[in-house]
Amino acid sequence: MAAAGMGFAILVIFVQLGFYSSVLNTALAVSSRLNGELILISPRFVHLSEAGEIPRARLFQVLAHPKVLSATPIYFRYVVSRDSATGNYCRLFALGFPLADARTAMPLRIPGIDDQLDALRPTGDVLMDRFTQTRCGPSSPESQFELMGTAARVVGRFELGVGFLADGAIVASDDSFGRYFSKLGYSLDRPHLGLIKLAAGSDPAKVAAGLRERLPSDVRVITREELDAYQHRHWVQNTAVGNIFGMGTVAGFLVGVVVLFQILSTDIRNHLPLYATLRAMGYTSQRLHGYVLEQSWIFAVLGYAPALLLTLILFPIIHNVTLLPIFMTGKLAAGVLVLSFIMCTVASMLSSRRLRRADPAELF
Amino acid sequence: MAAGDARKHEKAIDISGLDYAFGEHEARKQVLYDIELAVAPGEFAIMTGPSGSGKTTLLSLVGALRRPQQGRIVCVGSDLMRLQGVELEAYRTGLGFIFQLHNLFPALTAFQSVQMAADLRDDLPGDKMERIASLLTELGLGERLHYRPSKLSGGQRQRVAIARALVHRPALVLADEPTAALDSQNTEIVLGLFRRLARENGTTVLMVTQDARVFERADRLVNLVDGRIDSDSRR
Ligand SMILES: Nc1ncnc2c1ncn2[C@@H]1O[C@H](COP(=O)(O)OP(=O)(O)O)[C@@H](O)[C@H]1O
Ligand SMILES: [Mg+2]
Repeated sequence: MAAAGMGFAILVIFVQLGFYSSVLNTALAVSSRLNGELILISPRFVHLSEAGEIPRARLFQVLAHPKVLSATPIYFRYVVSRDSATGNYCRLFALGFPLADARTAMPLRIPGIDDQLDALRPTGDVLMDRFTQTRCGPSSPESQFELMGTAARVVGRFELGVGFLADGAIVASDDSFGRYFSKLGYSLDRPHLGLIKLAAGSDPAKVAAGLRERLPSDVRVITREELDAYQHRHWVQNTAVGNIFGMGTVAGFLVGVVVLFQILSTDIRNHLPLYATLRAMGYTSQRLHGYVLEQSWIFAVLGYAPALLLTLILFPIIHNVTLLPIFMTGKLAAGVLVLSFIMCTVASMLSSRRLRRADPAELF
Repeated sequence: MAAGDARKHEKAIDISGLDYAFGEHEARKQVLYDIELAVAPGEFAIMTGPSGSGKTTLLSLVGALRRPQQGRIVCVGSDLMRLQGVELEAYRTGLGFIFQLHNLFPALTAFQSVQMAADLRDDLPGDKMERIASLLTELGLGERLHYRPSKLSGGQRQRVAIARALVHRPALVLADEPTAALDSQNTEIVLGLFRRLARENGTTVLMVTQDARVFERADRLVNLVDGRIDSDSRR
């Protein structure tokens, strides 16, 4: 019973932290896959989905730096897709880049893209994320698939997983990308960011400083790690999902403390004469607290094991249903174990106060 | 206080002019009056008397489970009027308590219960595990070393509690009706153990009982009536 209560609290923490880390996975899904040391962003950049635009000409200026190997424009935007057979609309995250640049340095480190570059050549052909919601289609090779009302063909798949960002993702050549948005007056001269690859052995911070001197104030140079940090901060602090699952973890922790506190307090109350007996035997208060702490750690282990097992069953199910990047990792397992022990230690410290009522005077 | 030196004090129990009262003001009720009692190391003393005469109260004062109020009470070299903190805990560690209720932890086996007491003392001679097992065996629990209390009879539980009180060869054993739950054969075994501890270790035993069959086995018979020592005879 006690272990069941603990197990439940730990399971809640596992699931909340699992979702929380899938928020983090979402945050870094794209930024962590950009293959370059430095990034050119707009001064209005907030995060990837709110990046602003940069003048493409700045990339040529960047290329003039001797340490810069390549400077590739990257385009990304949400596109609305429609599958004519089902009539389903979806919101997909679209990534585009010039195919020619990819010959020098592959801009995206996403499994499945490298060997399908040629397939992207015909304008309008795209690759689709394997982790796109199936309802988005295309439902059959015959059905017509549209992006922003323009006919498109899905010619291959890659593996990314964008989590909470969108229903799925597509990758296209810059020309295809431009075509979907041409009706909106969008021009390829204004990419969303510039990806800069440096010659081997160069110091990104130093090159960044050099670039900042040459470039006007309509662009900013940051490192890829800084981009990750922007993404991380935005998703953890400013999105509802980040907050919900962060709070959920705290709530699970508190529930665990309260449940265990109740269990331990009741146990102490029921066994007061036994604790009094230990006092009579010469056990110090410290030792008695140690004994209660030991008990609580037994509960931690008894609760953790089944919770871990359940989580291992639950995560693949959640992943299959929601396609969220939610996975068991060694870090998550170890983190929750540590949290469980902290939870039990706090609960045992709170309940130890009840030991004061263990009075050996009434034992005889 | 190391095991085996229980004889180093002239008196194991040295009480004079001891009064004790429960409650305060109007609710004040005095239960012990001017107690005089001296017990030598190794002595086996039985305290008897009618119910409510103050036997249990006196026992808990000797065990430092209650704070004495007035008079002199010095046991195995410790002045209980002043005892507190670490010294109080150390004093209790040197004692063996046998309560009417066995007070065993339901989660612990017989062996573990006894081990909890043995673990308090790291100055015990010989192998600790062996000592625990042989003591329990002597008490007829050799087959039940790893049973929890729920799987033991009332008498067996009481014998586990007795083993727990004796395993560390205490200088002073305080027992309240320890044989009430035992048949005559097991009562004999327990009394034999008391005797042996007294002989080998100089352990003093102060035991409360109404059981007249046991009286003849004691060195001393103290009769308490209405909070006063009515008679005190050496045998
Ligand atoms: N905690 C207590 N508070 C108030 N009175 C008590 C308490 N414990 C015992 N007494 C009273 O003290 C007297 C002696 O009790 P006790 O020492 O238990 O006697 P005995 O063990 O000889 O039966 C009794 O009248 C009892 O009611
Ligand atoms: Mg009594």
